[in-house]
Amino acid sequence: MPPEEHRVACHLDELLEARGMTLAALADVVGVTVVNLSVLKNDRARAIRFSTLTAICEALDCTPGELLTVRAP
Amino acid sequence: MNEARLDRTDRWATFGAVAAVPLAAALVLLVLPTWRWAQDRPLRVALDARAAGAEDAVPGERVVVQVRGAGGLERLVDLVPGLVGVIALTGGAWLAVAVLRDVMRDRPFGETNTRRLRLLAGLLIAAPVVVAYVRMVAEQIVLHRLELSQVGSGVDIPLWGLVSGLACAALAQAFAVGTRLRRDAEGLV
Repeated sequence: MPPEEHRVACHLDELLEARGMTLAALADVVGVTVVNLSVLKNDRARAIRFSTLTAICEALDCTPGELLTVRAP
Repeated sequence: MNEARLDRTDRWATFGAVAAVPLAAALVLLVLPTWRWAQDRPLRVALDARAAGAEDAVPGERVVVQVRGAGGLERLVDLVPGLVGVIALTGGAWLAVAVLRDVMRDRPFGETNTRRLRLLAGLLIAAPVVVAYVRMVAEQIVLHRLELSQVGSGVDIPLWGLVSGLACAALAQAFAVGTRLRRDAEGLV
């Protein structure tokens, strides 16, 4: 079965750059593997746990709306 | 590291145990009768005891009749039920090994394994019935050719096939649910 289509865009790259933080450092802080964060960063994730979202938003001092947006169709 | 993971010895022991079933069946059902044939020993025909005239026999009880002077055709026909059984067991063992291999690789849930288990369930339910009827037909042919048509033969269908087949079908359904759950969990961060 092909993966379900979605239009959610992740802005992790921009947020990390703005804060001068690396993906590995964020992985250490939030307790999620670099591989999983990379999946999220490259828009290949199909779902995100609230606990992961909370940890990322706390670590980057941002809101879920800044991290994730929905692209126009 | 997963301490519960099976090592190479465990894997070979498991595969060996599964492969031993069709091999043992081939030895008993094909090799031994052929060896008896080569030694020109009497043909052994296992008949349903009640159909053969033993009225006090319990259902499923069989009597072994030893027939001297059986020809090549009778011997060959007598081997057919065993051959069908060995083919079914080999197919079942192959399916079981394929599923076990994926389970040992920590990839149990998938459409292929669900399909394999459904096929195995069908095989477990159908094979004993097919073998029983093939055996009855083979016995009738052998008895007719040996001019022993007055000895009846019956069909003895074991219930273990139905029970184990239904259990395997339930397992296949569990694998189908597991496959859906795995798909849902993929891409979750």
